[in-house]
Amino acid sequence: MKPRFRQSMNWLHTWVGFSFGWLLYFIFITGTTGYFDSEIDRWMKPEITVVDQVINQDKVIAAAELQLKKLAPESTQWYIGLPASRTPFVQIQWLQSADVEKNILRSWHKRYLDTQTGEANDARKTAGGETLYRMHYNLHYIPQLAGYILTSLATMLMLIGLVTGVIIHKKIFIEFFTFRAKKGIRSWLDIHNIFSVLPLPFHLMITYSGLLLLMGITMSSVIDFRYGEGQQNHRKFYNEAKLDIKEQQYIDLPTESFSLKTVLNDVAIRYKNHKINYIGLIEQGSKNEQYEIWFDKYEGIHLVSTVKYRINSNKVEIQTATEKAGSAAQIYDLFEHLHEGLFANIYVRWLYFLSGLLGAGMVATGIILWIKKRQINNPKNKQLNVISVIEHINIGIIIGLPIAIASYFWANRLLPIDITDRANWEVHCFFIAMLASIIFSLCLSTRKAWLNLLWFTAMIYLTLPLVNLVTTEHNILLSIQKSDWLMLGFDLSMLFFGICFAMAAIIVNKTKEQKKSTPILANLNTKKKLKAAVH
Amino acid sequence: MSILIELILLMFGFILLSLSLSRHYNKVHNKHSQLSTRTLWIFRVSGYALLLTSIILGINLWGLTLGLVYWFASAMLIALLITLILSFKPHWLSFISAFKK
Repeated sequence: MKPRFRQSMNWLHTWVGFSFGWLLYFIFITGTTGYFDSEIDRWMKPEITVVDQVINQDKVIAAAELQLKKLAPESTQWYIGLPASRTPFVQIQWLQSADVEKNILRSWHKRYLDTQTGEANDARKTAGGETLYRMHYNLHYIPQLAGYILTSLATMLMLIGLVTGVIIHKKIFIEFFTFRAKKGIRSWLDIHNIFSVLPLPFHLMITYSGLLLLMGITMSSVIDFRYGEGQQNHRKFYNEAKLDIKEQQYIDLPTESFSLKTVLNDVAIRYKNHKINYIGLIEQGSKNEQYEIWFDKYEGIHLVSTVKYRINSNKVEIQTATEKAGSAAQIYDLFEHLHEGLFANIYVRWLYFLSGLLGAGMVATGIILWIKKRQINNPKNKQLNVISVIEHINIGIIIGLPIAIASYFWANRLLPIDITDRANWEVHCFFIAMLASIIFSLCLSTRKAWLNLLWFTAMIYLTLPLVNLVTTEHNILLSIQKSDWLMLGFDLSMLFFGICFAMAAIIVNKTKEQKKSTPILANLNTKKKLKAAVH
Repeated sequence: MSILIELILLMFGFILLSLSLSRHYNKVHNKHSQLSTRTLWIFRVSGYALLLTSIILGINLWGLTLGLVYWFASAMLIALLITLILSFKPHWLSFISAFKK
């Protein structure tokens, strides 16, 4: 083992960071897109009509209820979503119960209500913003459990990386604002430090809370020990651990007139200043039938909880959950809400997004440093070596992921509307694009790989608003007219990212060409030729 | 509006803290001298005082959790901005200079 503490920490930092670096980069980037999942979703469903004026809430709810009765008369559970700042449209969702005879699986369905006509429209089949951000903990192609465990492991190593990083960074205060440009490896280290130290509170919070969020899976043997194995036993644990403090009271409402309308009347009087976000009907047709009202209101970082209306022993009872009973559950909630950032307004949301990108940058610069240091120590020989293969794959992944995300958006617009498995194909396009950019990077010299991939990324981001213009009836000017701010924001953001990538390409182009590095595959070929010549 | 006040407090706090280091002070003023201990401490103490004021302001305005979230997020943004200014446009900060000895 290494003799000195800081040296051994340095060793740990290097190898922990390198071994899971690419996975962590993937987790950071896809997770960061999750802060704009609703916005991405809106863009990927251009068929939705947004509500751009004040609506008559009662009328809209009545229309939505009518549609639900028509579309899903037998459904036991449904929700009506009213316009909110991040979802400015009316949506209805219902649960289709499983029917073995008709071969129907239990599934959720969603439609969007046109407030003018009262019709419920379907949007195109798309994987949407949800699948994109879910990738950051289920890794999509592998079994769910394996995804959870792998991301948890990566998170654990990230936490180790952060702690060891703080220990080995000797001048954390003195170099707080320091960036020395054009100094080779020194500059890379400065950037790595800036990306890690400035958002350090965010990094620590997101990593630690990420670990907590999956603790039910990674620590499941602890639950097994106390409650026994199996889902039912675990359910017992969760029911006990996540117990809410509830307040119940009976209200003056005759049970005969208990309906959505009377419930909403009562809500309007009782919670005057609260804006309703969701209305739900749970366990319809059973004894326990109840209405749930969700408010669009946060206290600090916590969502103001729901109100439930139901009939209990011939009286109408309302129930509110205030907070979790156990202090462990309260802490879990705190970290969960911090991690997800659902409370964030537009300003904090963008800073969450920026911090996430800085985290990805931290991982990326870390890997680049790992490569650079090894290249200095062993000067390049002309033969194929592992370090330079890693360097090329690294470029392919760092730029490949933004390309993959753009391809995901392109696929949404260009794939035929009625193709089977459309949502899945969008995801396939994501990974195909990523693989293609890795292979592309392997075929070129490092400098050319950086330049070509950066220009390509700039181009596909800059043209996304154009694709939107050509394939749908949405465009930037029309979005302003219709005050469709999410559509407008998405298009403008894509232009902005495109400009950023173009600027990065220009900067790379300006830097002096270093010693010529030959592409790896070409190298491989010459090596084969040499071998052939020898034989 | 109140977020703007917090951002301005953070801005001046971080500028003073960064200038309390000779490295940055000399770059901003094109000098090659050591900061006097007196100026150094004036910059440093007032810098920390401004940061402290902004954090207290935030907690008072938005409560403990949300106040801290806003403060850390804003601090990250401002520190990033100042790092960029110090690296590429250091003379922008030359309006703050030490008293003559």
